[in-house]
Amino acid sequence: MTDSARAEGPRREDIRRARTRIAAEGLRGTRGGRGARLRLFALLAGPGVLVFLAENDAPSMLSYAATGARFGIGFFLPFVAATFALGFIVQEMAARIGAVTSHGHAELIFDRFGSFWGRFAMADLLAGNFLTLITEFIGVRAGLGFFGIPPGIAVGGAVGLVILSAATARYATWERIALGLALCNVVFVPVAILSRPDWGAVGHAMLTWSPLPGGLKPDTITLLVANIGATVTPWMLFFQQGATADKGLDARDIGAARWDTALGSVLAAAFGIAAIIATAPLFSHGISAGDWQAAQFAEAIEPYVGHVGAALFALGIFEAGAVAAIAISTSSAYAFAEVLRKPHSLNASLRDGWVFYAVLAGSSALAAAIVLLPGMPLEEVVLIVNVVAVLAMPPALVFLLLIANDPEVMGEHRNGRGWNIAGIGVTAFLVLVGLVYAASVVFPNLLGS
Amino acid sequence: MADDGRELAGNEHEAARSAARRSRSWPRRILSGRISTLIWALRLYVVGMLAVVAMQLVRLV
Repeated sequence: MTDSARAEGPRREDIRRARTRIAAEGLRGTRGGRGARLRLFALLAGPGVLVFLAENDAPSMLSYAATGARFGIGFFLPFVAATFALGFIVQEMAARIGAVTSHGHAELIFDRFGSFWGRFAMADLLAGNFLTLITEFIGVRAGLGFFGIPPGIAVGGAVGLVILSAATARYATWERIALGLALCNVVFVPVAILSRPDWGAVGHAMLTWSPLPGGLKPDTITLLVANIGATVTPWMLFFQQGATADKGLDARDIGAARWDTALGSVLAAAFGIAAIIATAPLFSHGISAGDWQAAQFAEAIEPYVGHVGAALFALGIFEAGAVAAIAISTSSAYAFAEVLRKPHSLNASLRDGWVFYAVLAGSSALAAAIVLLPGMPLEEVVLIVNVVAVLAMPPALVFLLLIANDPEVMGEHRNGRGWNIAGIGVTAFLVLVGLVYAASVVFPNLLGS
Repeated sequence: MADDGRELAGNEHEAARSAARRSRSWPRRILSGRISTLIWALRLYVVGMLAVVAMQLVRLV
């Protein structure tokens, strides 16, 4: 922030944040017992639930669907639950840093480690986000394609949704729209129920963690990495830290932010697991589903879940793409405007925050336009985007850990030893996963493909 | 703007606090040699991995 900006005093965004703070302190001051605590949590929650449900995005849900269809439930149900535990470890740190500092992730890297690393992190994020945004609009197109909606209308409508939700220029309104849509991710649960799974087998799978059917092969490794990338990605760090700061949470709200993140990870894990269960009948009936897209999955499971189930599945893929497009374009906008020292808030007026809103709208519109171009290798992009997210994660995690351990920035809220062991463990695990993936691609015969 | 003004009248203290928190900055921290090496190593790791992804994409397409 420049000195001249500082001299201006509170902006419109600060006034809106003040309302949240006053409401929160009012609820803290009342002796309303559990009811007041729940109202306080409802006021402060949002970024954690939103980030995890948005990460149950189109490529992630398609990875889960492909997983269920190809491998059933034995190995992947507990595996997916474990990846959400990794996601919680990482996202809790991002939320805590956002609450303590009131700063976004790119901004803090820029301040603390210099403009080179700040710009590098921002550029990495924008490139990865743009690739992911393309896949979200592929999901939107494919999901609504099941209902016969033309691609132009489907994708154009989703871009309109992204822009209109941000154009309210009120964080609270934007969050309500995005959360309302994100909770529609629950549609995968009725689809799973309609597939009439053997609940005893589901419970057994969760408790025993069966070996991978067919063993470890190169294409299996890609799917494994894609499933990890469905939970742990760089944009989530930038989004949750930025949204936590934008909402106006401070150090007193760390407990609520932690519960918000935990709730988000549990809900998203449940919905992801539901998607695997929903497509598991394809595995048990020996139907190959290697390179399928959303509409094909919906059509393929129709004999097992009925037309309503198939329609809900397609609707879920559309919702997953639309919500993720909202969240990912917002994370790009936060990072870009933070590094350029421009207003970066969903509470900023359209005039003050024009750079922020232009990145948000422009990245969505450009990604949507690419999806509508004929002849693009879109199916391959969907497969690979979650893999790229996992591979790009270790450097982002190192910066996250450095900031979370920085006593000048975090004070008494810096990481404890347990959290550092978990964070370093996640980083080492992701590096190892990347190396195994690289070995499986470069030396495909190593695992006996 | 008039609405903002009315809102500010009641929330002046908190709004000023938010502005101060958002405009705070920290001095630049010089990374130790070991941390710099680690970050550069991870950067090279990402570049190498992206080359592997490109290889896989070429095979797929």
